[in-house]
Amino acid sequence: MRRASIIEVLRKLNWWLVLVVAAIASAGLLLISSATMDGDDFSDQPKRQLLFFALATVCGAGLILIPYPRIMRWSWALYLISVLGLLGLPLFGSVINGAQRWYFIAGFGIQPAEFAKLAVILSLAAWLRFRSQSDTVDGLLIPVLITALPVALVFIQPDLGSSLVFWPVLLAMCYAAGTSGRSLVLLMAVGVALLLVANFTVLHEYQLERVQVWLEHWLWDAQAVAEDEAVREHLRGAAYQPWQSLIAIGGGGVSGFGYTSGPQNRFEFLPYRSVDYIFSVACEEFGFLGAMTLLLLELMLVLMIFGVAARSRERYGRLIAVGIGTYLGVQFLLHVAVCAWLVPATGLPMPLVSYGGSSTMVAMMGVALVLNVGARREPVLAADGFA
Amino acid sequence: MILVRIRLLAGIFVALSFLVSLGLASLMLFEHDEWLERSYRNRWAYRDVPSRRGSVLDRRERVIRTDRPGVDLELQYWAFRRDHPLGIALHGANLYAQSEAEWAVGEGLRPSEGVHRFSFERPQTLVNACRQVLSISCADLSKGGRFEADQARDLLYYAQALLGKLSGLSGSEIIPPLRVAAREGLQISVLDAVKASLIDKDPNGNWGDFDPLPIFEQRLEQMEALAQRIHGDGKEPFDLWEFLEVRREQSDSWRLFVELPLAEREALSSSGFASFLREQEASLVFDEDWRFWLGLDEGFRERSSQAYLELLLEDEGEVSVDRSTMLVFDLPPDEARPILARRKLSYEQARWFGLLQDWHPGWILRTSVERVSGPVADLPSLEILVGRVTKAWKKDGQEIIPHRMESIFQDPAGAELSEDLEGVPAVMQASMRSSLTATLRNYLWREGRVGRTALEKEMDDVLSGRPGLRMVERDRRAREQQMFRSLQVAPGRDVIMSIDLDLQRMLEQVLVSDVALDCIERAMAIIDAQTGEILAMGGMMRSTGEAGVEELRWSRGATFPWKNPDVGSVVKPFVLLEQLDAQRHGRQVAPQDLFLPCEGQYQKDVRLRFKPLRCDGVHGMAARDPVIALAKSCNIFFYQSVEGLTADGLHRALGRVGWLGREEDGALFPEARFQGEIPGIPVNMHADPAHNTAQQVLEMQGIGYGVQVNAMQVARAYAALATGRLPRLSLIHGEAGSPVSLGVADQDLSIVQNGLRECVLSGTASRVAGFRIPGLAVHGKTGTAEISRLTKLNNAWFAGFLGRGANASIAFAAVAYVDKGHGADVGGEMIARFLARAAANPKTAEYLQR
Repeated sequence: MRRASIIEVLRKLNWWLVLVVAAIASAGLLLISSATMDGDDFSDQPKRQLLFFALATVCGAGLILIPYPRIMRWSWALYLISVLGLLGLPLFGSVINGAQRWYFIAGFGIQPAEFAKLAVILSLAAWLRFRSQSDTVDGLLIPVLITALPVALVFIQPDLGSSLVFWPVLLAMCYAAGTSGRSLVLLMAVGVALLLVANFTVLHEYQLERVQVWLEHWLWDAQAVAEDEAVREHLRGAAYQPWQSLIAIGGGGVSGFGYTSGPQNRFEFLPYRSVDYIFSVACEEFGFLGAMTLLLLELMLVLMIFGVAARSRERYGRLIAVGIGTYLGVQFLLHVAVCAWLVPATGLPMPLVSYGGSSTMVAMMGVALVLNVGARREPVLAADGFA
Repeated sequence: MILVRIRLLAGIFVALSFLVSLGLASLMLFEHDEWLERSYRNRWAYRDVPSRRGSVLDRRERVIRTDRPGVDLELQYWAFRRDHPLGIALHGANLYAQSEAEWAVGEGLRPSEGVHRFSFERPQTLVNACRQVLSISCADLSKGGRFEADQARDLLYYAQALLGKLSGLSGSEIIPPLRVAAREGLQISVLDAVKASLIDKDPNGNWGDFDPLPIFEQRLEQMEALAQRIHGDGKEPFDLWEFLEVRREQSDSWRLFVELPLAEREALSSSGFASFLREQEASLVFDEDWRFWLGLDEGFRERSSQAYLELLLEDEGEVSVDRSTMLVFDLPPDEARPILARRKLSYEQARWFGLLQDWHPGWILRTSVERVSGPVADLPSLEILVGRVTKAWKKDGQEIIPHRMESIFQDPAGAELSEDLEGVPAVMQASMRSSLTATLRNYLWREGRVGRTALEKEMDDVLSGRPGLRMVERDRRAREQQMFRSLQVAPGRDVIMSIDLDLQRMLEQVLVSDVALDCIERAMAIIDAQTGEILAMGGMMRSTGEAGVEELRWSRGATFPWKNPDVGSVVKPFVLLEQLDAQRHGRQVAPQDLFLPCEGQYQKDVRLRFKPLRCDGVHGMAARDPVIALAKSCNIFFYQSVEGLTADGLHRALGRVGWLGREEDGALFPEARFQGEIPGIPVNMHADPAHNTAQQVLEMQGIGYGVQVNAMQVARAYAALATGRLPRLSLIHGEAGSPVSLGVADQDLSIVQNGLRECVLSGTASRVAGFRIPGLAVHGKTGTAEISRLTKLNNAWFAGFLGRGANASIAFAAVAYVDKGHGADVGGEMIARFLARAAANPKTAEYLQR
């Protein structure tokens, strides 16, 4: 079958998706600028983020031009590189805030866990593309193992937040590939059981404390916050970050304090505000209206990616789109939920919005892959009832 | 089918997004006010601006008492332990010794005999502690090594912190090589591991010669120098090393130092609970803010928590012991609270240590305010008149602090805050006001100073001023980012005393002179005869000092010059004035022309304690002349006078000059004469005049027995005799108020004044040579009244004035309790000496002539 020319690909590109990504990225740049304007240590983040976007755009454009089935051939190699990257962290990685997650090269930090997300998606897609009617071993057990290896390596860094993102991606991709709902429910049940066991054995003390405080905080009333010494102790300790985030979000009201005027942001009460709590900055400065706009943009992005998946007739491309849509959607929702303390606190960047070279690069490449899939009508390589 | 699955996945995201939106809406729309208030509370704070207390000045505006800024030295032990090389070395070495001992026991070995704990009591051993930490083997820092993971982690901290402090290297330069060496189990010291890493990175950096010990020794020398400087600074000895050792012991043994919750505080009133704490060796302390702190050792929780709770419940049956009560056990040690080490460092000490402070984390120089006496006001008698100031006490929370709060908010300036709150959401305004109130109250608790005695107490409202509170926006690190106008600071106003420092010094010199050295008490008061302002005043009493020796010491309230002795013959001018006034106005009186002559003994069969009424002299017919009778102090004249006047007349005589005290009913004279409140002197510091009629017959009352008035009030009454107007006493310049006319005829007053002048010239006071001062017309009256027949002690008074009418300058009174001393020889001599000194000094001579 004739391969689509570059012009044809560009013509068929989903420019609405590009526009939404550009809008989200622009919002991200604005928010990062606001979040870092008073901090000398972080004042170069907006410029660096712009550079990351430029680099990611170039890489993404290159990726669009390569027919995605060719990428499929590299799926396992990419997976292997990711795993090796994660394995090398204890030896060569740098420790920041007690976690060994980064390689530092020429002043830039590379976070293998972010790239591992993409590698896992590609590998799962490559594995699942022929296995829609497969048994549990092929359709579920092997994908679980494919996912579990990098998850374990990410978890021990430790990076609980990132390690949690992999599982919904796995479930969604398996589900889209045809795995029965019953098997997935069973998998989830096992996962929950394992999570409960892990709660007492694997989690670090500080992670357990975060969960404990999160469970407790639903019972706090105004009096307890003001007078209960135990609660106040939490607010100075494990609950500090989410509590400050809640103040930023709640204080934003309908229309917010205005750009760069959010006091929680300006006066540095909000920790890691350009990365882990950037949505709180958006809420505080642009209020409920701004937060909903950003939420809708991200939702549009996810739905458009699922739209690409739905329109694609080729399984590999379709599974990639499902995986990337789930990864972006889950990470986005988890980020918002962490900011609003709807789930226990964990550090997770907001895709395309938070500062970070690796996460930006991976998100942009993911979107580029989806655009690639959407712009091509690749032959259906297997008549397996998937279509 | 697969499309359905994809749509379902998309639907799940839409649903989740909707749920998240609901959560956001709840926070941002429905709970917005609540979170907005928290947002304000986060960043809005009040910075207190201390107000200086007003100065106390003498009438010539020389400083008697003022606020002087000073510097206190405080220790924040948490920072010292973690950041100061000495603290790090000592705690690190002790932890290493302890870890090693525990490991040995765990291995079934006997701990090394040489294991010892370092302490600040032997500062010379700290160098060894430093060596010990620097020589810790990297293998011991690994988590799977000889020691527990916690111990290894803490040792790593101490090792890297000490190296960092002594080398200036950052943690990122020190920790990685230590971690690597620990992971590899290398048996090299932490110092060598870091040196090797530095040499690898920078072969030309001379790191091979790097030796941190000299820097440690330098820090140690500086601390020793500080210890010596503040030990021998002339104040109470202070041992810095001992102070540090106490903190170290608390840090080691008292794992917890927690503020005592309400339930426990209330239970403390129970002896059972208090003794239980003692048995458990729980340390109960107050801090400077009078908060209770409870020190608990490590085993307390396991050992005693149940019994603790049971006792609490038993003693405070209605107190619910909730979770927060128990959770206090889990609070971290309170080492972060700065503890006062040394108050009032000299400027030299503060400057010296201030230059070194960056090298000595944990030590804090904090500015403070000290209430000091002025350079010319080193007079103990004046100190008593001025009183003292202390920091706020616990009980001040009941009265003084609420009073100050009330006065601040009544002040129109107290409403300044309202303007700043314009534009702030309504929900915040009330909240910020209550926050302002709380901040102000805390400030008054923490920093407020209260006048406790004498003038400082009486004029506390004027002197204390109003602290300022500036509303600021702060960032997370409490750095101020924005300021708002707020409650303006108002320094205390100065108070100008009526006292003249020179006169007070002269009065003091007289009081400590050799006049009647064997007296028990003595006092003098000098007032301005026209205005009633107290120019000088003081008193002494005999008491046993610290060395067990009896001596005359400066007396405070309830003794001279504040208390009332019998005035004796000092009362006679007032009786005479009533005699003359009664005759003039036809009130009941015995005409003096019909008085019996004085033969030394009163003829009437009146007895006092089985003795006849007597006179010290035999004045014959002269006793009918009021001038001579007063000058000679003829008792016979006054026995007959008071008999004629009756008790009512005597009452009137005393009431005319305010000597009836609070018994004065307002019926005798149109204007009140009694002065119970004297500006600048607390009411409870001095006694009201009293007329005790129960113990004395009327005739004796007529010569001053049972008439009890202190020196201030006597001087006031004699000022009235000098001018015809009864002044109002005051210790504050310009606050005396208008004098009240005595309401007697000038001729009658003149007779009394003549009598008083004659007393000095030819009467009972004529033997005081010191009164013959050229240009000074001394008028006065002696008084000698027995206090007790058993002790043979008597009062020896002299009271009088200089000049008459508009020319009257000062009025005075002096009294002493002596063993058979005459008023002229004691009181008279004291006044004479005072006048001689005052006249000899041109500055003070001004007061003597008008």
